[in-house]
Amino acid sequence: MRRKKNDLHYNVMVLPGIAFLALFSIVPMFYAIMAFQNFKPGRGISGSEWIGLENFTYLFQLPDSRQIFFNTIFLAVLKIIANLIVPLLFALLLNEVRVRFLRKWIQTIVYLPHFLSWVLLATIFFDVFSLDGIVNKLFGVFGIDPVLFYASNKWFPAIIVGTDVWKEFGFNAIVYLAALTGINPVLYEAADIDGASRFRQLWHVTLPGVRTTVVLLGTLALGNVMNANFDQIFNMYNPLVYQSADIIDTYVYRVGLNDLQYSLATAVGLFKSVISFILVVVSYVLASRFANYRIF
Amino acid sequence: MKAKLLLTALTLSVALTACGDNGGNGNQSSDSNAGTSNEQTSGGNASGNTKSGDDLAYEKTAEPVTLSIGFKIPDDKLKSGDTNENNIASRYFEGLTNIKVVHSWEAKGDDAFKQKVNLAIASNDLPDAMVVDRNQLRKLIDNDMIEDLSDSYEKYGSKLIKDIYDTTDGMALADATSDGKLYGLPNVGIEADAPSLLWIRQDWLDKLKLPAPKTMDDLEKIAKAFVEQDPDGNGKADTVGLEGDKAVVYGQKPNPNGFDAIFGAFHAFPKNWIKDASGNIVYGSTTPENKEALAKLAEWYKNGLIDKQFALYKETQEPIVANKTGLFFGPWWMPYFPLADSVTNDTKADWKAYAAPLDADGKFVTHMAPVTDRYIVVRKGYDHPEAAVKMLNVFTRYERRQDPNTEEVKKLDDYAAETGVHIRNFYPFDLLLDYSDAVVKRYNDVQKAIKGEIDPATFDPDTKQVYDFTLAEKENPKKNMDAWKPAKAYEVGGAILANQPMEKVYSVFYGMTRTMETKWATLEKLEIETFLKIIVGDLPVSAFDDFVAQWKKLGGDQITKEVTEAVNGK
Repeated sequence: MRRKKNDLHYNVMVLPGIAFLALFSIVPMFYAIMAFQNFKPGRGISGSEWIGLENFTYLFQLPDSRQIFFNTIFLAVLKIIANLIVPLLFALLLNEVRVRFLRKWIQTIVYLPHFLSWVLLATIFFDVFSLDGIVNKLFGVFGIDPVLFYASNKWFPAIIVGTDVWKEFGFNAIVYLAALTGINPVLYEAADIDGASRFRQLWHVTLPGVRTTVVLLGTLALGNVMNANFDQIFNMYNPLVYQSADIIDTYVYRVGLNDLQYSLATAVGLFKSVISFILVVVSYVLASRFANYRIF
Repeated sequence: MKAKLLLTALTLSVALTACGDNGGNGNQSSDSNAGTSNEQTSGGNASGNTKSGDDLAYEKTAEPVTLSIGFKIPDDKLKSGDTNENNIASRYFEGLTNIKVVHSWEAKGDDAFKQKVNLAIASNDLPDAMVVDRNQLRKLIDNDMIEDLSDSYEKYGSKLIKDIYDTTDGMALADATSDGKLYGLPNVGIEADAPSLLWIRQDWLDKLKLPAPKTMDDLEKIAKAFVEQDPDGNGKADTVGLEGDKAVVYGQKPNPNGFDAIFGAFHAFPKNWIKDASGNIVYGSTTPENKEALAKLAEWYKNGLIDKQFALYKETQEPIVANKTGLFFGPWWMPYFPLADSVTNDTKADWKAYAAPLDADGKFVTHMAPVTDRYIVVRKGYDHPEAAVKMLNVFTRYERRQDPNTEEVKKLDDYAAETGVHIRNFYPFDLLLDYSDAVVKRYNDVQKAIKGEIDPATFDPDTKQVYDFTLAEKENPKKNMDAWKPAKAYEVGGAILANQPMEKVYSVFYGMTRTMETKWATLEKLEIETFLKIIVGDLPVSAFDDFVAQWKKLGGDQITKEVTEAVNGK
């Protein structure tokens, strides 16, 4: 990389970000060693007793741990897949809308939910899915018995994934829309002249045009396989659906901050981070191979 | 949660029985005339060269001392110019003691306060003193983060607080003691908070011409009628039966919607350590009686007699406030919260409480609450641990109406009367030492005064207030909700506590043991999930037996052994 003197102000501008990163992400990393201790705040890291892998052994003996790891991965994978496909379909459809004004309007409206907080949405969805909520009223019209969605381990994962997709698909579609605009219009003209129908054009021009974007987003999302979105689940779940919705992060929160078992919570978090790290590396390798995406 | 917050705010009604029945208990610091504890003013036990007893307890510190605390922000609106940190109460106590209280941090509401304390513990950044709960105390002792207060308490504790602690037969102090060292100054709670009564919309009951409930079957009939017969008369099937909470039972001090009374009627005492028929100590959630209670609840849930969504509400009081339910369990103070909100939303609402359901022999059975559940602790290394003791001395003396500085006390009382501010919410520590029968005593006094048997002029300010509000409420029902709250809480809740014979079951153990520290969270989660799932029908009732087996295997047996040792070792 070539350096110029007038790069300095850029470097200054990045300083707060680096300080933030160091303070909240890098420094705390050293404290992860408390996962191997019986950590007592009063004695600190240096004064607490070392217990090796005991926390991890205990973690794997817990009846809940298998469930929370499964839930985390299950929900995260479903979300990743849904969040790839739905925005893509939406972007493709929107791309076909020829009225520019209408297209912009739709695009703006569907990405608004991205900016709402889960605290608020959880309350709204509770009403929507409650016994006398809209969904159950609709069910009633068709003579279906009301369902307690929030209390049902069958429905709850679907609600978690569905609401997450609803909130994010508009925002995620932006990348696809950008990729779609990047496709050379000449290709469509050529296809048109060759007598390709709109569907054929979609298949042979549009999809190949966004293929690299899809692959890139897909592989990068791998790093999120252990992240099922604490914000959302913490605000929406209840003890009845722990079985299907308790994830690593909510568990760590309850064990660490409510029950004050710092070491155990750290062990869970560290374990999660290690797996996430491996997945991030894998996704990076895959992304650089298939989509020619490189950071370094 | 708001309910818990209100429980605290509640103390406004609960306080101040002026003259105690704390007779007969001598204590180290003083003399034999313990019959009344009003002799603080005389300082009569200061003989000899060195100061001792109450002279030392109430003495100003020679040098100004700074005491930093964590403060729980109340709802009260102070006069402009005053702050949570610098107000009429804080200035008075600082003037008395020469101890300046500064707030390291403040938090609003019980949950936020608890989180702040947890955070302070986790980051090893404690204020000089603060109020903690039982688990936090345990953690602090374990981590060697707090001062041994034995000497400070011995030397500087006032006769009054020692007397009150003595009324608990040493249980309160023992609770905060570990290895013979006193690590916290505990509160002394009132007994009245433990029983969970059945609260009913009397206007609905009358409308449907149903008799007052006594048995489990009565309750079932009422629930059924409330669901099916449109008690609110709006032509829509929008009312539910019995309300519940996702915690199922509270076990010690209940909040609204616990099923504690149902379990009690089956002689099951979940979340309490009790002695079984053969004298062995068992965990109350694992006894076979629970299965009967769960079977009953599951049957009711299945038949729609319990609100189908009870486990889903973020705030348990929602259906009560919205007047969707006319049937729930809660302690005597329900009129303060959430019932006042229910009545504000529907002035026709007329709530009554019953000691129901009764057990098979016609008795009302309830678990009790621990004598103490919070503690003032002092950070290890703080130079003036006695400052916390002295603060407790002065505000407890004021709280118990034994403060000899009549002029200043009058000023505080006038201020409180004028602004509606509760002085006690601005004590440095949200921790009261009360006589355990305060509610019943106040109810009886007010009733006697209404009948003209005693002169209300002799009442302490809080009893007087309840008396005044009761009269005001009689004259103008539901005009002034601030009058309605105490009037109803005492007239309805207090009456039952005073008149209904109850079979009270005390827990034998409230603390934590070694194994509990690592395993209890898992066991509790297993318990709550099993109970909930059985009630809503996700699991059959027989799953209770699997739960017990699993509970024992996952550390329950070991913990039971430790608890037995702890109890027998005392």
